[in-house]
Amino acid sequence: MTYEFKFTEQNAGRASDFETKTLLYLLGIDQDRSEISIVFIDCFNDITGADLNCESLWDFQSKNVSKLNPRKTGESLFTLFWNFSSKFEFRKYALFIPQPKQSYLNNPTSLEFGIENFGDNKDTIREGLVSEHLRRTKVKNLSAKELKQIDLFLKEVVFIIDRGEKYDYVMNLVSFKDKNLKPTKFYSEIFDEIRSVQNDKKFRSIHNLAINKAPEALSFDKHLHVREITSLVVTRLVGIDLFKRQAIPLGFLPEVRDLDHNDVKDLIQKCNEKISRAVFNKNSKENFWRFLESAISKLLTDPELSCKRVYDIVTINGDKRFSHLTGSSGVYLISLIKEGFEQ
Amino acid sequence: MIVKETGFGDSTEAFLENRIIPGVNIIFSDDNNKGKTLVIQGLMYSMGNEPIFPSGFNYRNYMFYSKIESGGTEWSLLRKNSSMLVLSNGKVIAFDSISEFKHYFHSTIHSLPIIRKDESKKIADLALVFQLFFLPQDKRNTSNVFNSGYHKKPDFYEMVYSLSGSDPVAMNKTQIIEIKDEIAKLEEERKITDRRLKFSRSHPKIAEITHKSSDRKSFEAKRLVLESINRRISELGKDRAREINRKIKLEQLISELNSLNRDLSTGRVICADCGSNKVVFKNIDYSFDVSNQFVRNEVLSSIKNQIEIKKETINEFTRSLNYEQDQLNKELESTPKSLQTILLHSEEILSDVEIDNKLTEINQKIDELKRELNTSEKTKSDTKTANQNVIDVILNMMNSIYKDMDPNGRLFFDEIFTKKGETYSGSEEQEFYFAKIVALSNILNLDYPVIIDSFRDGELSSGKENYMIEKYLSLGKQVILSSTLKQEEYTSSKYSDFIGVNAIDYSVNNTSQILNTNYISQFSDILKKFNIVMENG
Repeated sequence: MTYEFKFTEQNAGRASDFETKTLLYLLGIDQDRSEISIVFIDCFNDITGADLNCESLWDFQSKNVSKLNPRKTGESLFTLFWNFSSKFEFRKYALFIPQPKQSYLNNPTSLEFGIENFGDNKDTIREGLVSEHLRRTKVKNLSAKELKQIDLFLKEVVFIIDRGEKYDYVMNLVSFKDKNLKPTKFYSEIFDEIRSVQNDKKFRSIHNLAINKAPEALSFDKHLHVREITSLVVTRLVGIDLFKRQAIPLGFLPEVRDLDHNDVKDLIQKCNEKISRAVFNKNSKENFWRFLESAISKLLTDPELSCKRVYDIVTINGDKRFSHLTGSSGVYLISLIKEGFEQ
Repeated sequence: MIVKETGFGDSTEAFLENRIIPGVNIIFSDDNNKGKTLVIQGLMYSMGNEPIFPSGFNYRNYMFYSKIESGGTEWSLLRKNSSMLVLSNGKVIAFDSISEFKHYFHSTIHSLPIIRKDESKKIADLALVFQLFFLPQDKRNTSNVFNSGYHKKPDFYEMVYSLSGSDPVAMNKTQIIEIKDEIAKLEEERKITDRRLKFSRSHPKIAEITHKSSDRKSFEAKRLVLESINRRISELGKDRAREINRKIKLEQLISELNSLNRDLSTGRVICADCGSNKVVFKNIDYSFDVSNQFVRNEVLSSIKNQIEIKKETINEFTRSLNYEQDQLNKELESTPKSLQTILLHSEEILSDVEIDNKLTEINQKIDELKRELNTSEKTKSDTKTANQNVIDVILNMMNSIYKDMDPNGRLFFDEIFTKKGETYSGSEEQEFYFAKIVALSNILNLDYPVIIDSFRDGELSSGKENYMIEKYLSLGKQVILSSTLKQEEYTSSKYSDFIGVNAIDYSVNNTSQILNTNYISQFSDILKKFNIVMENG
């Protein structure tokens, strides 16, 4: 019951925008996105989603070739097929590709489809896969059993078409207040940050290593938690609005109930000051994300809780040294996030 | 207060002295180490004194007992370390500390002097009180209190004053300062009130106008308008100050944020294998930075924007302020001069009568406080004189006792302690203490026995010794003395020849073995009364 990492990219180059798009498609658009907690990067495949316990896996191959003819398409399916025939089970096998020539497809407007949409071209796809199989595994012929496997696989594999710009994919990640009002450059920059981290993960070689169970792959540190990406986007969204908003977030009202107008203004400014120090301080990364992630998870699982209560829970074992988010400023940040989620 | 019995011991050995009489007792022996000092120190220790035992005697292992009589009641005391048991009328009371016992002693057995120490009233400690009548053999010091440390010379004086009847708690410094402050405040108020009175007298018309009901209405209306303008001016001023403060904070924030985000430009960590400057520590679970350039630029530009808004707001406040001030001026211009004065001073204008009443009230208060202060100063100086008088009387008596005993003596006492460094010869020291203890006992009318361990210390001549014994006999109170005789002067009847002296000869005791098994049954009987049963007894 071993899984051997045989076909990982040994000469991993820079992560392309296209691979990042694949990642963001999985997290933001795919119908199963809510089940996915972890994304493996360049591990089982270009992108492999997993649920919290790594019991279910979603396998994605990313292929950015502008003129992808059916044969090449078939060749690109090899790693997916390899996983299909492995001992591990995957919930989905998907090839993420740019829009193919209209003539290849029965229904060119469809964005996600099975092999039948290729019409007569599906045989060429099958040929491509078989020949790639022979080349990669260095054998002369495939057995009847292997060919049957290929047919079964082709019935299951899904083709997904790239559908937009970098910023579109980021915008889809989190539903947050006023997210459509932010400039595209804002989202592009987040996209680049994610690509950069994805890049770091690609550098770690695991070629020829073997594991028995999917969770063991976590030890390679070639994965990202979905909560990291959520926190990232939320933090950026809240960050660019610091010092901008006029109204007091609803969740913060109990904190200012007994203050007069001028004291409220001072308190809000103080909170903004402290939060801005937190997001400018490169050395407080760990404390910051720990606070953010637990606050967000609490807000999402228990939306009825007051912001003060969420703050108390988050900081109950918290690191008091992280002074930027201690007291009012912590509650204020939570109330901004809560309001964003409630849109 | 008199001592009736004393003793000490444990379950294996004990000693009991029950031969003490209410008159003069002399415990003597032909040699040292017969246990005289242990008995006398044991007695004092049992009553709550600090331990001044000869070295080598492990007092912590023993129980110390004494039976005393005060005010017609008998009290048995038993002490081990800092625990005390008191037995009276068949009842036993336990104390965990000597302080606790002191309060009981003061309230129930024998009242103790109250002294002022560290700016507060306090019952004098037993160890200090005992120095009025008890002279130990060791640790003597003519220039200070014995075992000085917590207790100091001034405390001894305080105690003497207190016993002579002066009140130790006149008024302390802080109270005096408080009163003086209060007076200063009232005098300031008087000045202001006085000024108002002058104002109202020098502007008779105003007073007139303010009392004419017809004018009163228009005056009131005007006053309200002016008041509201004034209020707006002060509010605008406050708001503007807050806004300026906020703007300054934002300006500081910008420079702070810029420095927080600075990368080290002196060098850069790169990966030796691939040359990448993206070096990640494996144990850090968080991949992303807390912000990116876009966010940071946005925040900085938002702050700058805020600063601009604040600048505008501040300008706006300033304009509003100017406007309100103009309004005020216009209002004032359209008002008759006399009314202007009224309006501007409307708060201050009271009727003559009201001002008068107020002035009288203030004056009364000031007088009262000053009287109080004077009384205190006077009491203080009275007390000071009285206190010095007591010391003078004591010194007189000390000097006359000394002259009487030693007409050719060269000493003159001008303080009840000697000056530091002034040394007395052996017998002179003894004479000094003798004179002091007798004088204190007489002048202060002390109701304590006189207890002197080694009363003829320092080669005292027999003439002076005899003088002292006669003097002690004449005091008419209990005296307990101890004395070591030289072989050649020892006869067992040396002191019993004095009429009225109870001579107790310790020569028969084994040297260094005062504690022995003979007293165990008597001692354990005493302990039984305290409900203490000894294991081996």
